[in-house]
Amino acid sequence: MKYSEKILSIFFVFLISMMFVKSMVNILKFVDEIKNQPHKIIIEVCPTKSEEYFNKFEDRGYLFALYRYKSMGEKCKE
Amino acid sequence: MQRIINSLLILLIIFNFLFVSLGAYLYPIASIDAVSIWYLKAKAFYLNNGYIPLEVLKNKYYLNTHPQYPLLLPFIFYIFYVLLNGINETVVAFINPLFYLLTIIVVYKLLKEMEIKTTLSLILTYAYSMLSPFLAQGGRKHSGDADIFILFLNWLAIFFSYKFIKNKNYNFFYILILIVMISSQIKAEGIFLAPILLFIPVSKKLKFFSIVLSLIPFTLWRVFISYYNIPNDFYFILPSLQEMTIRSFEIFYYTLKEMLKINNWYVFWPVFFVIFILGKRKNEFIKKFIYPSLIFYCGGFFIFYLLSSISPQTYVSTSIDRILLQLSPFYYLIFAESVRNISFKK
Repeated sequence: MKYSEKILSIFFVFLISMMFVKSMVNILKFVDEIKNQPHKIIIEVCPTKSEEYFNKFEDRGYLFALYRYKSMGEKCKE
Repeated sequence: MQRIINSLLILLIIFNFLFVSLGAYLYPIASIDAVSIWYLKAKAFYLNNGYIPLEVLKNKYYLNTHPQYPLLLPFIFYIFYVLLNGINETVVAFINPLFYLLTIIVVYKLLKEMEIKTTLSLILTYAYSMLSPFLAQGGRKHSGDADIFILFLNWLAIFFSYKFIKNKNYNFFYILILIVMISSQIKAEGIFLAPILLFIPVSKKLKFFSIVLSLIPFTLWRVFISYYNIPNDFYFILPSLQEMTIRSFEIFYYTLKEMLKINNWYVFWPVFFVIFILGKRKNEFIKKFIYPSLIFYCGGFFIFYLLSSISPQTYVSTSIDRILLQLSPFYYLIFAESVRNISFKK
């Protein structure tokens, strides 16, 4: 194997090693998420005026805010 | 030993699929594009009983939902809503992990078709499945986004191009035309796939016919936009030469900045460029098809960014990760071929 090919092989092995380490991190994250279900998004529409807005797909900002609001798992606004 | 390595790689790839699926389950609507463009238009279709929701597309309050984007994807989501008997994003969010898996299968199949050994094909497939923008689009907080569908179609287009060039079975060529047609109806940039037809070795007449045919859905959609005066939130400009120079610099700068993001790409890009410069490429398919297609595809995006009314500082910096992902079928094959030629010759 030529010198340049050796360098390339080392670079490639380094890249795969980094990915492998990230896989291990992801496995730990996966286990943690299974255990704790951290940000389970609840998208049932609140039985308030917001439902009307929601169904009529009001402006993007409001809609997104509504989704985000629900994603925090908080109770519906009265 | 090789069997153990292969099994480990398969397990890691399966884990990645489970990882993105869990993401789609836990964060089904975390992407603003999914919420405000794709799901929103799907919902509009649903409330409009499947008819094109012109009142939404023409309404200036919905300008930032990109009204001029094609409607195929929202329509597909709408069909799911009908089948599910109601709007249900938590289920639809699983389409992204499914396409993540399908893409991985196509990558592996293509590498095997290119006669890359099983272990190296699995290593390369695993490495590809680990790219963060791909994991994100697969379901880690980007479920409902459209880029993974373009990505899948790009891989499929290359797969069928290879099959056609190898076997001269014209059915593959017709499938390729169909893929370009579908791609142009997912997102506007899907049309950048059309130039690949230029590099398929068929007669000039058939080449011309295929390109014209592939552009029909795109043209019809443009006619529809024009006829109904569908507005858009951005447009094209012709900047001065000085402005173009600055814009070009910004495009390269933000692209390079993205390539150096370890979180997204690890050290893929430095490795890619080293391999690209020092590695040997012998494969005719790479030389005659992948290279020119990649140049045309990149050129399309470059002009798009250069002439867009949105400054590259804003536009490139917020979108280049997914654009690089869309381009990945082309450059990743160059990478795979170079790796095969250097380290794993036997």
